[in-house]
Amino acid sequence: MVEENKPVPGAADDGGVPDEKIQEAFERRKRRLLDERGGLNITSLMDAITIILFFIMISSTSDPLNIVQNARMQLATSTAEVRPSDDSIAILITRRTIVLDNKPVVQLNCTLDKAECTDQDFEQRNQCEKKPSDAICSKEFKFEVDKQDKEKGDPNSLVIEPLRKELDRVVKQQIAEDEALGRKFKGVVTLIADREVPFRVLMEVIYTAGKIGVKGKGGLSQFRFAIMKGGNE
Amino acid sequence: MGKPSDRCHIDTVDLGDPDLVPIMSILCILIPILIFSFVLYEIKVQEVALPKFGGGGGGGGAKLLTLAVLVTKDHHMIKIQSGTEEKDVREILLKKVKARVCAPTLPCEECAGEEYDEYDYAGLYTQIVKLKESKAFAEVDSINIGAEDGIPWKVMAKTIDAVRTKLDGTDLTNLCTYSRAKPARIHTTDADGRETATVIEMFPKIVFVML
Repeated sequence: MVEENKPVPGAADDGGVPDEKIQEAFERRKRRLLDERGGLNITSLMDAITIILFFIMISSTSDPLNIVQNARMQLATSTAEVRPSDDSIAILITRRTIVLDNKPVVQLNCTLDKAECTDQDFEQRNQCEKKPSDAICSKEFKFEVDKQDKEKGDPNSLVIEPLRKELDRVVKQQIAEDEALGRKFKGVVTLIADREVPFRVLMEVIYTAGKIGVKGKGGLSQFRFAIMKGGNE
Repeated sequence: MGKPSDRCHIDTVDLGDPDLVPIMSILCILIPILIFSFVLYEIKVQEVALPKFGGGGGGGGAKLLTLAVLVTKDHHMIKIQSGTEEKDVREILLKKVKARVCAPTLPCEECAGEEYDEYDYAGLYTQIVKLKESKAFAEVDSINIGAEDGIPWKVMAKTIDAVRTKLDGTDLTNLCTYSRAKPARIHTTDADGRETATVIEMFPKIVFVML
């Protein structure tokens, strides 16, 4: 039988170097030798992975609109080739809410066959391009802003009150920021709308935004829709 | 007691190499999560002008020439208005057509997927090209687009595509060949000798109108 903790020749046997320490030193030396012979060097691997990680993090934050697509938010496809700008005011219109400045401002009511739409309905609807014969594809989803959120509670009004108030605040803030930085306020709005959102809701949002402005400083006058590049490519 | 050299080395605490394996494990989990949340599609923007609300005055006898595309639940309608009277309005109706689900790798003739009703974007495009090539609209660069309240944004986006950009190819009357055609481009060379390809636009100014 081979003795495991074999004493090292030349080591002091008067309690100078404990056997465990010698064993550890041997193990370390063995590992180092293995590394030198071309084994897996974890340090260089760490370096490579850290660089990849930083690259991914920087790339993901460089998207000016930072759109996350899910069951309630699917972009429409188009052949447009204009790049989105960083200095626009983004209004997100999903199948449930209108979001401004990362804050939900207005709820959208959705009904399907007189019942409230569920996320499952949305997921099925999102599959219609692949399976157009599904029953849900021929049904009409009805999206609308609650009349309480309309100007004077009128359901036919095109002005969405909570959105108007919030946009007014955001525009004033943006104008002040631009003035402090010596820039001109461009008044660009980017609408990030879900592909199922109806024309009426889009018009209400555009009309509400078109009413916003500060005298002598300009208002929101340019409207852009975010789309996913596709279609005729 | 050991020799002076032993005393010097044995009493120091050897921490050894740092254990990088747990950090590596965290990084290996973090990278797929980040890649999964990463935007792998290209985001662009489509410009539209402020909508026109209510009818304005005629403008003191100036000749009115407007082109509008209206979208309803089952058709597109092109409305060409060359005057203020009813007889000056011409309408072209484009009903929905049958289309088939088709894998992008398959040739259009071999498409045998599920059949479904689709707006005739190819027909709309063909009509708009004809109008743009006519003398009356050669200099016009804006088009009005309106829709019924319930028309979804995806239909509006495709309608805008059909009227805005000119496409390459000859026979684009079929929905499949139309959807695969590439935008036509003009190649120009600037003062520095750099070549740029610009998309040919028919009606670049899109104005949303309420019906």
